[in-house]
Amino acid sequence: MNNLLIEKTQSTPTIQFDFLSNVLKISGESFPENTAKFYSPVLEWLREYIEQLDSATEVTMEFNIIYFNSSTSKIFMTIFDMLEGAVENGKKICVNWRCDEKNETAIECGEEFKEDLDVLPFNLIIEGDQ
Amino acid sequence: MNLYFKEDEVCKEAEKLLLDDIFSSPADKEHYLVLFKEYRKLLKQMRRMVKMSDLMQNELKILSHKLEQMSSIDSLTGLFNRRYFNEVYQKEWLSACRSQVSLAALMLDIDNFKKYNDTYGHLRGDKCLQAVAEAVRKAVKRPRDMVARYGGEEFVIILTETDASGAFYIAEQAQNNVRQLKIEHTASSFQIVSVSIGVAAMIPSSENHPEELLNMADEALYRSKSNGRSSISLHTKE
Repeated sequence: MNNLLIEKTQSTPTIQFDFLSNVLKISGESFPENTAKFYSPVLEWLREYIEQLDSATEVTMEFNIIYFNSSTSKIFMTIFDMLEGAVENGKKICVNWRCDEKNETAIECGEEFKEDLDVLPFNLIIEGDQ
Repeated sequence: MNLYFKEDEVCKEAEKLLLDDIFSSPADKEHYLVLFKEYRKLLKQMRRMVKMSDLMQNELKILSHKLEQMSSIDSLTGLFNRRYFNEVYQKEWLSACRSQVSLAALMLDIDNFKKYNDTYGHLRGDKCLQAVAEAVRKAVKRPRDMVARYGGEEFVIILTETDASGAFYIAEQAQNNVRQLKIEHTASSFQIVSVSIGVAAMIPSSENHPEELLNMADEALYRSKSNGRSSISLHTKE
């Protein structure tokens, strides 16, 4: 399976899904003109990736999103659903939701996503200025 | 009121159907239950999304308000800046044209400000600008009137529905307020910081250009300067 790399643009985030290290990163801002179109290859890659995953492999999905629109939040919900399903099937996946301590909205949104989950480990990581 | 009362009604109805056991087979019931659970899950997600969306929009609203303020305010004096002044002035000019009422403009300039900066340094110069700006602002009481920083040490006041004598009165108030600050200025013949003011008023018509009134006030200010400063001159349109 190939890695999935998408460079960021003004309205879309960087996607770095590394098949070998099993670290999947989404970072930046997300308010694509056509959210479904932008995320469709991302969701497709994830589906295939989860399918081939064995239960020994530890996967980390990193979110570092400064700003996202409502359609993106729907996509994220879909991603968390997929991951939650995979965890229920015995896969080892965790999510790190990283945000700056000053970005209260991103923190609160992280809390909302976390509350919606049952089995998927979701770590809210608040980072200060280094 | 519950924002999702319709959705809650649907859920209640579904629960009732499950309780009444109206299904033709256990498989049908099971299928219905799965769909109902999925509906509830998606509904919960939608509620969260709406909440997050509200959070985001709220933040954007606050940011846009801050930006708007920043783009209209002069950061040193806290007065409106020239960009915003131009915007408001155009509106007031058109409004005065339409209703055929007098509009007044005052141009104020701190006397010997370059010498003040040379004598006391730019930091004290900035403090002086801030104090004078505040003193001038206090002379203007009505909410629709406007005080703005026009240039370096120059301020402008726009008074709506005000004739020359009314504007002259405000000019006196502004000048007195500045005098009462008693800011030492040894390089000035008055020994304190003072302002020169040019006053102009007119009932504008569509034949006039908005610049005219400001030019008139500027000419009057120039006369005040030539008259030995710390004075007020009036220019009225014939």
